[in-house]
Amino acid sequence: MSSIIAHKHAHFFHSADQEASSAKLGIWLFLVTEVLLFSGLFVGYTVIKTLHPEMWKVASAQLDWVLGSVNTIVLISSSWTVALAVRAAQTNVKGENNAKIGVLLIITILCALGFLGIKYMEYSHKIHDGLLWGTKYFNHPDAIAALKAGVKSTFGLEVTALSDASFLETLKAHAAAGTEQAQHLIHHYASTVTYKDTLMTVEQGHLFFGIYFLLTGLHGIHVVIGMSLLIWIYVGSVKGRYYRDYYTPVEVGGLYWHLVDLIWIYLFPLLYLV
Amino acid sequence: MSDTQAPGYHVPEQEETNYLHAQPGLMSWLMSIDHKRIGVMYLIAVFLTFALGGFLALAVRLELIAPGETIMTAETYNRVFTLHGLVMVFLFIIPGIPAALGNFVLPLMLGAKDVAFPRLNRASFHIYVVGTIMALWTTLEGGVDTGWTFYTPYSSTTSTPVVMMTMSAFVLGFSSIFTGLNFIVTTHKMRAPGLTWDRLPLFVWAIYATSIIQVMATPVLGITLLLLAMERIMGIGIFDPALGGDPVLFQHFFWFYSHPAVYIMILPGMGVMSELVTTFSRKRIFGYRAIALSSIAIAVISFLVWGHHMFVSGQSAYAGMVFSFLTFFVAIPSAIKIINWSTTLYKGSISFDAPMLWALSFLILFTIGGLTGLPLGTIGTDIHLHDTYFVVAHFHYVMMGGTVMALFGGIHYWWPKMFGRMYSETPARVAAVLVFIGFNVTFFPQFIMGSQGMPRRYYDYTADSGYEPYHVASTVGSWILLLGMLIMGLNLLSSLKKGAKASANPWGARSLEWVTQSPPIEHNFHEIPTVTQDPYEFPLEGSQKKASEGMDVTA
Ligand SMILES: [Cu+2]
Repeated sequence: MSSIIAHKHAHFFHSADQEASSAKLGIWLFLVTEVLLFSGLFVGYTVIKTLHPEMWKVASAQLDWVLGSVNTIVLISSSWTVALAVRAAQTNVKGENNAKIGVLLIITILCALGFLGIKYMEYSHKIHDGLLWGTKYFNHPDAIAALKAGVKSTFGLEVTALSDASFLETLKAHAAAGTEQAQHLIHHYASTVTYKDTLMTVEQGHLFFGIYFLLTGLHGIHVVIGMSLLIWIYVGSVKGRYYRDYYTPVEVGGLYWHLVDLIWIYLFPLLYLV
Repeated sequence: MSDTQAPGYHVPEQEETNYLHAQPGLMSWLMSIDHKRIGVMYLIAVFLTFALGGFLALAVRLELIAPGETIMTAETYNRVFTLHGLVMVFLFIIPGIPAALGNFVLPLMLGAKDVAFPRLNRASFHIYVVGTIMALWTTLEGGVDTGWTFYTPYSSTTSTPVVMMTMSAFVLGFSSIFTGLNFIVTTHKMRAPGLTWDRLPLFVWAIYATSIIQVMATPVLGITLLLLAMERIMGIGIFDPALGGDPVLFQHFFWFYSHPAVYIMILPGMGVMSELVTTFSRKRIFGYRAIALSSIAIAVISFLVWGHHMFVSGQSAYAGMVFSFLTFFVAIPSAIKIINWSTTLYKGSISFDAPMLWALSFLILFTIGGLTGLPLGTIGTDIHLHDTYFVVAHFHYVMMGGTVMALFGGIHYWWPKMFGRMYSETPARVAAVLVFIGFNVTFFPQFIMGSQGMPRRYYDYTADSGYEPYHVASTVGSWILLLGMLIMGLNLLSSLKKGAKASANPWGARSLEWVTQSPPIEHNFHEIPTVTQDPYEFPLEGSQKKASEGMDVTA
């Protein structure tokens, strides 16, 4: 459909200009609050990193910087496509750009989904290895005690030396029965072997992963919110709501999406590279 | 006519349907996007939460009237004073002036038909209601016993429902951010023609500065409370020394919000003061620019002083010195305001109408509150006074003696505009005087016992400690306060039915909310007024009518 629906400004504004510039100031202020929300976590990041520099070095090395880089590229591309969508809306006169706006928004939304997919892969790997927060961390005394107790009750074996590779083989041989509980214990024991020379040598690695999950989790929620916003704008664009004289929602959604992107551009080096 | 604020603007002879009756039914109120209706709903909410918080305060005072258990156990007492603090701070005083009076008055003062984002405004109110329900829900679950400050490590280990309470404050924070954001954009974009920044009423300046703090500080509280909740739910360990975290970090986070938050609470009160002092002394405000800019100065400096709450927390002595110095610095803009108001009163033709009585109470009580803040900002004396009743008294002189007096003054001042009725003057004055007396009887003894060492938040004291007479006085004072409040509340309520009809401008004030009829029509103005003068252009010689005579400049 290449026609437009003319926009009528709300009665309490005296012009469409006043309405548009109000919306713009509003979204900028909102973006400031978002940055400040994250800034609290960045302060937490700095404090914990300063308190435990050795731990931080070892723990942050466990993140997969290749996946992180791919995600960075995905998000930067999506910022570019959303910017093009805003441009297409600004130059839309009679609806000739409606399809273009739609396609660009769809690509942006697909990028967002791709980002979440890759994040899901990273998360499940960390969960698998027990690289989690607080008492859930594979090397936390509570978790180790649970591991020892579990191995004893499931396999009838005594864990004498943690992270002994040959003991892992013994466990695997016993796991023929293959209950889920047994598999879980083997995975848990395997991570104590895997991280014997790295994470097992530093204390409080869970703090890094706690911060990692908080920061990326909060960011992930923002990706989902941004994506929903873009879907809503996409629906409007198909109907031909956005054109030269009225493109505020596309612009506002675009600005929000740039922010989501910008926060990741800080998160990526701070977590994966530093 | 020559001195009319808005030339060419007339209140029609025939009264038109006002916003109160524009649409019928409860749902039309709850779902309204009219800033005036939202303001009135906030006003009702704020009255209710103040009654709840006040009831809890009376219970605390009654418990402390004598040593030993009086009416409740120590565990209950901890929950009661915590809830008193949380209700008063998050449900009453933060939304108090900005969301109730600000919502009603600010767009009118700007000559606008509504705020910039009316639906966001309604969302803000609905979120406030949700947050309030969550807070009250925790009470049904037994209540929280951490104090309103939620200090770790106690808050991450106590068995009371801290997560629900912190999430309630988190939700209320969104309400506060949305209101602030709305007011900033409204002030920038919705001003009537001719209403330049140096013609803005000082109430608008104060609300504007408050909104900046709300928008900048509240997200940090949000993330702090989220971290505390995660600490409890997930065991992140960032505030837990056993897991390698730092409990003092929580205090830094908390006060980074909560010091600016005390200015979220007081700045709007200062804005109301500027309006009352000029209108009821029939004099131009002295030092308009100094008052306006000191609000902005407060908004900026208030972000740099949070460490003065933490002199005994183990932060570095060097940081303590810097925070102490900056704290003296932030006192200056407040002092500028006090001096300007006093100078405005000097040789003015003062009329002692009820709003003015509340304003004078503010002037006296806030000055005491402000000055007693100095020994608390000085490291040496704070170590002696820290966590004593001296702090409790100081805080209440500033917050209740300041903000609450201004709120009540403002409610009386704008009441005729809001509801189109005059309250009766005599009971209103009696209430203001009773509250002033009751307030001092309640809180002045707390300075004395605090300086003698009575700790805050304690459930008990021994009979031979010598604190008992002060506690008795303080509790008796709280009853006088109650009496004053009841008279005020009943007087206002009965005016809704029996009050005399109010004219468009009963006080002879000069800002734009007074040029439209009382109560205003649904869209505020038929035609947007054009502003040609500043809002305090009072006719001086010759026309010094008393404000209470109901002079109407537009008629
Ligand atoms: Cu402070």
